[in-house]
Amino acid sequence: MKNHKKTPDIVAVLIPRIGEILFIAIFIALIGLGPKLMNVDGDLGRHITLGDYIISSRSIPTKDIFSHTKFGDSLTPHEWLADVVFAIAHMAAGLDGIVWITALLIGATFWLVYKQSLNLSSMSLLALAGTILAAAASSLHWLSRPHIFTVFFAVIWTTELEKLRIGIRRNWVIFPVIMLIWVNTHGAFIAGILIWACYFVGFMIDQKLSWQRIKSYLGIGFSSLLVSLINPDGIGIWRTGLGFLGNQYLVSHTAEYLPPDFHQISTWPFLLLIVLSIGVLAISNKKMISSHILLLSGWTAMALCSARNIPLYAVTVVPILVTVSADYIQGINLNGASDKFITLQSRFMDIEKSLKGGLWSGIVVVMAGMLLMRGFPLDFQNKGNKFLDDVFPVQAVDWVEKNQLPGEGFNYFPWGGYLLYRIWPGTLVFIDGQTDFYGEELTREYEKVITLSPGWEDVLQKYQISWVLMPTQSELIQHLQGLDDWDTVYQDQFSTIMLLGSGE
Amino acid sequence: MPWIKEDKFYLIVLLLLILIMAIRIPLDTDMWWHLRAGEETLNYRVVYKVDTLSYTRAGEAWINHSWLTQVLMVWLYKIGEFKALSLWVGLTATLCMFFIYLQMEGYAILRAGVVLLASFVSSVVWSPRPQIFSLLLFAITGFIIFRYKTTGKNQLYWLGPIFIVWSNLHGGYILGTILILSVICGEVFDHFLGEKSEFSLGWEEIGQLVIWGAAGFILAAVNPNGINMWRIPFQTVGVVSLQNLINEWASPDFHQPIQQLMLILLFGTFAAVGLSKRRLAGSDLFIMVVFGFLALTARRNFGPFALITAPVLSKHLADLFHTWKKKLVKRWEIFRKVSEFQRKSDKNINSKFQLFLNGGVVLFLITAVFWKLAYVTNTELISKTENQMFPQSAVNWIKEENPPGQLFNSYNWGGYLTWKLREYPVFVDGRTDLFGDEILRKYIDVISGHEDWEKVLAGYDVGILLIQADSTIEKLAVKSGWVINYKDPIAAILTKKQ
Repeated sequence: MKNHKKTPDIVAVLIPRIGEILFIAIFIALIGLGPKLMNVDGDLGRHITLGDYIISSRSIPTKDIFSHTKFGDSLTPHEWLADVVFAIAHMAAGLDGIVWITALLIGATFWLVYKQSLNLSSMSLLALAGTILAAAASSLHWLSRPHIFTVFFAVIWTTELEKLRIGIRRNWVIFPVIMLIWVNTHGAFIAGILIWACYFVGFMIDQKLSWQRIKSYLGIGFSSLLVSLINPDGIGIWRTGLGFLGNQYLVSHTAEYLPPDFHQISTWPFLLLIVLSIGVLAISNKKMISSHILLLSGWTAMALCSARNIPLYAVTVVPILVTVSADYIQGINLNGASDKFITLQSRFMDIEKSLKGGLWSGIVVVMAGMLLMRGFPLDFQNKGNKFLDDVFPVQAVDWVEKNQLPGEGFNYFPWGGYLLYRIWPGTLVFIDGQTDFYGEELTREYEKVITLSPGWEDVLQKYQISWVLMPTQSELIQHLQGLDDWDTVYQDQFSTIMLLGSGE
Repeated sequence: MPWIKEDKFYLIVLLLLILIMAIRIPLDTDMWWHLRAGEETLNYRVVYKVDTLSYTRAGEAWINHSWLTQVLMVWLYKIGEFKALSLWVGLTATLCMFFIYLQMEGYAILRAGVVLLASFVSSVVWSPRPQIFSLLLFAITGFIIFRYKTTGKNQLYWLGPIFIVWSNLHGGYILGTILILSVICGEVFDHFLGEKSEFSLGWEEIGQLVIWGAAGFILAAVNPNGINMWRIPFQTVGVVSLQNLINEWASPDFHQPIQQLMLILLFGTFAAVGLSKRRLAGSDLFIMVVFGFLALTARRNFGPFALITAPVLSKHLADLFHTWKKKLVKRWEIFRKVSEFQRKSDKNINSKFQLFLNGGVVLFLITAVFWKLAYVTNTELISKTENQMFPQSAVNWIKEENPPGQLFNSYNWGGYLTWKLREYPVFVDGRTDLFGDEILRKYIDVISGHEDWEKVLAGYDVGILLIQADSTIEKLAVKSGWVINYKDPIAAILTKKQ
């Protein structure tokens, strides 16, 4: 290692590190994309409303309080802690606060991915390229929802397991601590158990078995499983999660669980990652570590099954690909090209080591927070962070606020969360995005009504529906408008409210 | 267990199992218009190249890239009806997998297992359509390249005749060109990295492959469509509406158990390549990446993906099993004993008993082949399946009543109508390259109830709707004054109120 002159302290603080630049770029991009983060998914309203309720009532509801169809039924609030975080951000800065916390969390996630890739490969340029690709692949699921907490915890979890594998970490107490927070933040904590299983099996295949190491792995597994029961619903959280995943109907009717459609450009970075994975396997002269192979193949399969797993795939797999690529580059000689790259890389590393970093990311995060709190629109379209009226029935709900709706209603499924955000507790919904709670029976009843399948009127009668809020172009609205019993009380190009009249 | 040890016996059992799997009910939405086109070619002794089956494209030129298969199909149908079609699909698929088996490495049981997995994955496209020939010729092309690489036998000159036949049987000849290009890129890639495996090609050999690959592509123009045949792959893929209309052009849905097998193949290959000590050859890398990409963008490419991945998987699994076996025998006494027992029992077996046992198994499987063929082509079953897939009764109603006006039909039934309801030309059928985005968009506008739907129908003077029962368009049409004249659980016929 060459001895470089020590960088003056002030310069070391002022010049950002590569990882920091990456964090700032992702953070700013997300702040700029604020309206998209909130408007692609319909559940944000529900999360904020539930978080608000928990804070104000100081209790976590384990019975349904949001719908008239399942009111009082047992509920697994598997995202309660994330909902509280969203609610606090919302209290502080409204929807701007939600965008800010989302940008911060996602930015931090990819900073950690970069750091992990760098630690394993010692090649900052490769780590940067890999992390950018991981970010691009994950971006299709950059949304303000508790799932982003899972991606964040998955990176920390994998990093710690990697430390244990290498032998840097001996104490495993941190794992149950992470799991305790994870299990209360999002239902996909199960991913942590799967990652652990990959490392444990990989260890059993690859390494000389020592009882000490086996004890560590088993300790992590058992303690994490035990700790996962410390949540408001105990073992019910496992039942709900696995029950949902095992229900083919519900899974195939939930957009985010559908497989990626490779005709969409947004999935191409993921495709590129798969191609790179095959390429890396091909060029690697070293035998890969079994845990890494299990992670690589397992997460590839899971991401191909459900697009929502692509971010988890990207953050766990990219550090592996970067590491194997770095090993390969160090072992080849392409007419001196690899030597040149390694020299350039080591210069970058020397510079990186002499820098302190942290200043600019701190400034950007704080400045963005302050500007948003003061009401400056920072999104790229300069419209501010709000629920868009071509995604949610904004004007229709304005009308509802002025004109109380009688009795129980039937609403469009993706709008359920927004309705809770705007008009709960005065009005309860028929259904919203918490599919694992509403279950197959109610979802089928909902589908029967919107497709006007035989028996749809019976469903409306069963739940004593007296109003309907649906898209104007929907089959249901088109049909109800031809019936004498139903009156249109509000209509715009996007949404329509119809009331069950007297029939006269 | 020596009675299942013989390689040849394994191969025979494997091929019979594949044949049993591949003999299936010979009904497919596109089969009918292929039969009709083949019949037109046979009747007029001129390749059918101008549309007469639809009224939306009537009189327009059409690149009929599958004319030879269509003639064969209609000939088979005339001599043996559904039995002949079913047997044709079964034998072609089996032959295809045989050429894949020949490219395998490792223990016979391993090779057979991998070929079976690949068969399951590619079986999604085993149907009575010209596509089945593309699979076979793709496997043969792969085999010729495999022989060239592994034995040094240069039989690349076969690529010329293969491509001529291929481009007359199906437009999928481009898969062969892609395969050859991928192998060339992979070999050049290995040279560039300075990585050579035991079967790497030298520059001169790569040159030969380039020449014969290019010759194959050029010779694909030897067909009734001439150089238009070069356009066909791009023309078909360029139809954007394909993905909305046809499942096989959509990305895979891995929630479907049958499609999960492709995931297992991909997952298994990843793991085997990663765990084995053998380096993935550049050509294997390129073909896996290219055909993996094609399979992930359109599930109709599962077939080619499975065919090229299976030999790669077998190579690395063979290497892995060999290493593991050595390790286990060395490390654990019990594995050493099992291995020893196997060797001894191989010697002690009575050869007559072995022959009897093997013959029994083969006879049983041959019987199963005939039983399956008889079962899936049973008239009752065919009719029942036809009734479930196609508007059989609705067609009878139209034949009896002869309602006036043009017929608007569901896309999936277009081919069936060209065969069964010849009096009425169709709005659309499976010939997407003929109809293109222009007609397919109009079709989608109508079935999705787009605001222009009535205008589209009026523009073609449509008087009859033959559509899926309880579909959106049925409800809209009723609202707009169309009358339901016939309805069953599958189809509805609506006519315009006079």
